[in-house]
Amino acid sequence: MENLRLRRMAAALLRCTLKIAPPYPAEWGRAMLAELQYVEGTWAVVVWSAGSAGFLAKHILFSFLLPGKSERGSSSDTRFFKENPMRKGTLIAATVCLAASLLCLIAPTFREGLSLVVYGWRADRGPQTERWQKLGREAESRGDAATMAYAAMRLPIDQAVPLAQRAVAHDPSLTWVFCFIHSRVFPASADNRTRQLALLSALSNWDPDNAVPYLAIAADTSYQPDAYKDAQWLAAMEHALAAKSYDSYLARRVELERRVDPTSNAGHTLDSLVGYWLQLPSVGTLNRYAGFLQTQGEQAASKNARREAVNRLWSLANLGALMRLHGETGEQEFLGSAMQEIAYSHLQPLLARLGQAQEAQAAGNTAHILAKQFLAMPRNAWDVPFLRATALAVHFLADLELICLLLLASTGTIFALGGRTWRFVRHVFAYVPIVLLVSCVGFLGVSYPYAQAAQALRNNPLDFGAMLPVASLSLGPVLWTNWYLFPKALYLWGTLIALGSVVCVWMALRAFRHRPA
Amino acid sequence: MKLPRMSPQTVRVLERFAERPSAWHYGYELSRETGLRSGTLYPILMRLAEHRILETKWVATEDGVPPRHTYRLTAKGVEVVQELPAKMQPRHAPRRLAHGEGGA
Repeated sequence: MENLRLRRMAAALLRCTLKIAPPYPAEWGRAMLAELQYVEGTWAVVVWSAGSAGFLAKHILFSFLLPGKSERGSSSDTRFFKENPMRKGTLIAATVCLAASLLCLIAPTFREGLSLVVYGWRADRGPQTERWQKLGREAESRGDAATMAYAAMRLPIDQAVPLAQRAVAHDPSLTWVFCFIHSRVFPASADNRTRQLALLSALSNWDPDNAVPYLAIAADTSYQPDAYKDAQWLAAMEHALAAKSYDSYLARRVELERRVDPTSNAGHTLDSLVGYWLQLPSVGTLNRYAGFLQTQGEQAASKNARREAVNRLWSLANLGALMRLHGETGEQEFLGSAMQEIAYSHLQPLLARLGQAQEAQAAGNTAHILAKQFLAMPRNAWDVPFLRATALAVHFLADLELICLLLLASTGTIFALGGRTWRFVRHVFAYVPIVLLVSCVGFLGVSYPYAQAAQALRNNPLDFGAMLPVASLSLGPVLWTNWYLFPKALYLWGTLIALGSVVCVWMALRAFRHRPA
Repeated sequence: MKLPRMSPQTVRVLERFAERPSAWHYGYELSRETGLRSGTLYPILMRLAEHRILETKWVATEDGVPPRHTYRLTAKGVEVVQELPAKMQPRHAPRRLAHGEGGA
């Protein structure tokens, strides 16, 4: 009884496999099924059936990968060698792949990732100076100072400064915009330095108790080793050390941008990435300044002079604390910590020289603790080379999706118009949906962390930890392009992918033409 | 002429056909004689048929029993079997001379 059951199961397995087998190998499958009843021994039947099913399964798989295999040779039995149109199974599989690809659009992270990529393609159009010029003109005509300031923060510097000055003339409470206009990359020249200082001077007059304008003046954009010896630098640091508050104006900027353009994607634009960046003294310069103060104190003849050096170092430590308390970005917190650690480490020997042993020990211990905290601070949760590589992968997958959709659309049109290139149409309808599905699923996975970062940035536009990955993805085409060869990054990527696709299609067609008869 | 890949299993199958070139063979019979399983035998038969070394035919047996598929060497197949290199015919090839043996 059991033997009979096994035989029936073996036969059923082979019949089921035959049902989905392509016509050509199915004939051989029927031959194997016909032999089954002559096989002696129950287990021999099972082995025969399994071997036959395996043979058919291989051809079933091949039929999906190599659709519409034509006849091979001929024989006296023509049932074995038939012309094979595109199989229904292949069409169904292709439709399923296409539908599954479209289903990816339901995932919010997929849409978010796509929007970042598309933004990058649009951002590659350049700085959009005309757009901001027009916005600034229209805003000025209706006396809208906020929009004028908004546009000024995006224009090239030679247009930004006069527009910002006119905006501030309309509304003096917008004077803080000078902080962001000055901090954009200036061409290095004496005139531009004068313009910077004029803006910062106006800012410091408007907000005299804030350390930020003075720190901006002291910012060593040229990174010269002896910048701290500059009289202007020293004077600016004096004011910064004496300041009672620290306000980087970023919250005001975010509020203004949301007011003027609620749909603006803060953090996605090059202006945000560069414009939110405050010009601050470098850690190296501050360290040399603190060393300079320490040396001054140690070499000072009078106790008062030594006391003055100590007071300056205390003020430096307090300024660092202010930055840590009120800084709005991780970069500012980082600098504040560094400032404190530098100040305390240089205070210790001076205090010891002054005979204040306990204070010296406290300063030294505090410096050690801060050094440990400083080293433990996460600089950047994203490894930059990894960031660049995955952003490149996201863009590649997005481009691949677009190519697949274009191929399907154009092939569908050819098919509807008569489908003269039938083999090409068959191959595209069979292969491309699979590639589309794989690229959509890959895109969903690889872009997921970027989508999460974009969401975090939407909740907090000052989240610099999220801004870096988002900008890396959305500004990828702009940042990666070799401006000399390909002025527009889209042309570069489009060219590479189009060439690659043409090569792949040509190779596949060649392989089919030259496969063995 | 272009030949299929002559694996040892393919040679084994051709040897069976070579013993009775004009006879029709069943699949299971070939499997028993060559010791090859269906998953190995039928791809060989398919390949030989594609290269026109074998011809195939459905043969009706008893009423109510599905017809069986049979195989026979074609004229080209007979030539192929005759022209098989000696080393691919292990049963019929002359014994290899061991080191130190033979010579005039």
